[in-house]
Amino acid sequence: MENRRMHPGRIILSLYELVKNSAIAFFFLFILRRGSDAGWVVAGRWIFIIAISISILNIFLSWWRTTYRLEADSVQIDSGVFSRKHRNVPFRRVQNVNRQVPAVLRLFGLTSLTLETGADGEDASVKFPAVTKAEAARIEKALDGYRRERMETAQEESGTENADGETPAAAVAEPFPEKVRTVHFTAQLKDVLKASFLSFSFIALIPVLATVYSNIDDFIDIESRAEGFLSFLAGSGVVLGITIALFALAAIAFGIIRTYLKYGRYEISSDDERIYIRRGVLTEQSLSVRKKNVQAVQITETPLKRLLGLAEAKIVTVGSFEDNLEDISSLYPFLPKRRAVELVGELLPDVRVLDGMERLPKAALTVRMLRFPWIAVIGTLALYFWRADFPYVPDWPFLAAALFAVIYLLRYFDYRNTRYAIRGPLVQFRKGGLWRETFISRREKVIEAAVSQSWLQKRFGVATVGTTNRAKPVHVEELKDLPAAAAEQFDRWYTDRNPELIRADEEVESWKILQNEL
Amino acid sequence: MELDIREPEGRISRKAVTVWRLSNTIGHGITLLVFAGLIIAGSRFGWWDWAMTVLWILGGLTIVSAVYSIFIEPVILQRTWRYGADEEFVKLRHGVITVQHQTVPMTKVQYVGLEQGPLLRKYGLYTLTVGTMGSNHSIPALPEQEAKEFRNRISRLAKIREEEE
Repeated sequence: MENRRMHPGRIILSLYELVKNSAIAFFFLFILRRGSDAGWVVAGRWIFIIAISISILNIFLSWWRTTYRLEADSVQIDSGVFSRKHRNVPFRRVQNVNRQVPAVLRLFGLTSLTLETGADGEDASVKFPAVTKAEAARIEKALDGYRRERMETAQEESGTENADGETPAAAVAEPFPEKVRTVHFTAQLKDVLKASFLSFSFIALIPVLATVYSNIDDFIDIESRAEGFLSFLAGSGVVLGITIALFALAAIAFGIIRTYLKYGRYEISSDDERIYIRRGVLTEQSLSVRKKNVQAVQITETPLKRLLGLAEAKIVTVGSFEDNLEDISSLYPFLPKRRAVELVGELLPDVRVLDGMERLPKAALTVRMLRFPWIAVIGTLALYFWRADFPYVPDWPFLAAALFAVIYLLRYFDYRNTRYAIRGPLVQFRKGGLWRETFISRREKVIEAAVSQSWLQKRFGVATVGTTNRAKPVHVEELKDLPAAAAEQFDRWYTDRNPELIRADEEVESWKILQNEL
Repeated sequence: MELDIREPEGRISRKAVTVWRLSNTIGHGITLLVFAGLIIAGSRFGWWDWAMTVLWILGGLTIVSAVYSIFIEPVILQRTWRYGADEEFVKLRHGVITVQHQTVPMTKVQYVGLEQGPLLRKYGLYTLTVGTMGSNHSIPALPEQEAKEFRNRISRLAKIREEEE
């Protein structure tokens, strides 16, 4: 295979970013202070010009000097203008693939492509900042082709023995996956509207206005002008009312547009091997994860979502994401709970949200109430010594009492909400006082298990279990105060890694579609 | 009610008690010296009363903690430490007030290492560290022979598996 460069659009993207990042300095030095002869301004201009020239030169050179080559089982990247760097990333290390298409790239029909690996540090991912869509498809195809080949060999070998505990026997024995892509979810207008109100996106107008205001205020003194306007407003109730109504409308419109730009055209689809999530209108973002690389599923319910029966399902994967991409692994944050649960089942056939989870025993409540309330005590001490004197704020004993009440109430809610299930190949925890979180993982994806029992827990016959999953950073889950017998069961569940102990048909029977339990 | 979990067999060296006693004595000794110095300085230069109160309280707590961690904790910790490895898992069990049982599959072990500080060297002991993709676990105070055997055993068992992709 020949060495290739990124698409020249890479240069345009870099230039665009350069302009964006240096705009403020340019504005300040050349427009605002255009008449100034002050030494530091003149020096600043020269430094600016030199820095920009070097940056532009660097953009061209680094584009010229960065090449990549696709091999049968890896991708080779050479980069660096003066000191050359060679990287070799084997395809088997690639966990997820994501694409981000900022508006600038879209104009040229280009895309960026990132291959995420499980490694740490700066070499964690391979980024192709600007390639044509055809080229991106070619890279993904090379990746797929490699995987397919591996699967074929795995299939041949599996005839003899499946010694590797990692690979579920069923997945290897299955007929060869066909690439049929099913669309599971597309965001409709009503979804976007719902999302925009539930995320309180209209409030975002306020910080935006504040930033704009403070930026303008640096250059033009609007404070004195605004004062005249404010006194005009205060003069008439009607004008004030209209202004508030207009502002509210603007805020709502702003919120909807903002949400639409992010969550509009949201689509979740999958084929036999992978899950695809794409979203965004101007800046397109997409993620593709191999189903086998999904380490766990997390379902989050905020108090507001609980009230409205909504939930957010999220897949935990190994790769790390760049800024403003962290939430891409979410399966649309504003789905009805039932739909979110169904979606998990549709996307991940070997992970299902378990119904009929166990509750904690009464003893757990006692243990929880007996635990030393560190936060409340320290808070009380702080309140006592500080003794803040604000108008309308009650004295410290009231605040301390309120603090204690809230903490104990949350403990109670957490006790009420906590559920667990250890069944077949799955473990499932649910916990949280007001915010509720459900965690599901398969046994072979749990990289460490821990059971612990404190002195207090021993007295009441309860224990704590914990799991660790691969993710970046590692995902640690802990469930406190489940019965000692269940903790022992958890330990056996993890250590009896004997596949024949779990019969596939038995597993299926115990799954039910989730009702009101979750 | 004790948890009914199959415990690993391996025990750590008896000498661990002495090592921990020594290291805790040194650690707490230094802390106490610092507090003593601060209290002397404070009474000399007339620091605020509340600062002195805090210093006295912290100093007192250090003494209590020293008694516990020099005379009581090392014995129980040594007695309760268990470690072991079968074909599939590395298992650890330890803890005085809270008993921890940790299970690490061989397939997820990334490295094993031996470490030896000056105190451990004096008694011919090693600390063995088992690292996974998520974290690392240490088995303190193993005699040289056992430490090396256990390390070789884990690296042999862990190596035959292929890494997870």
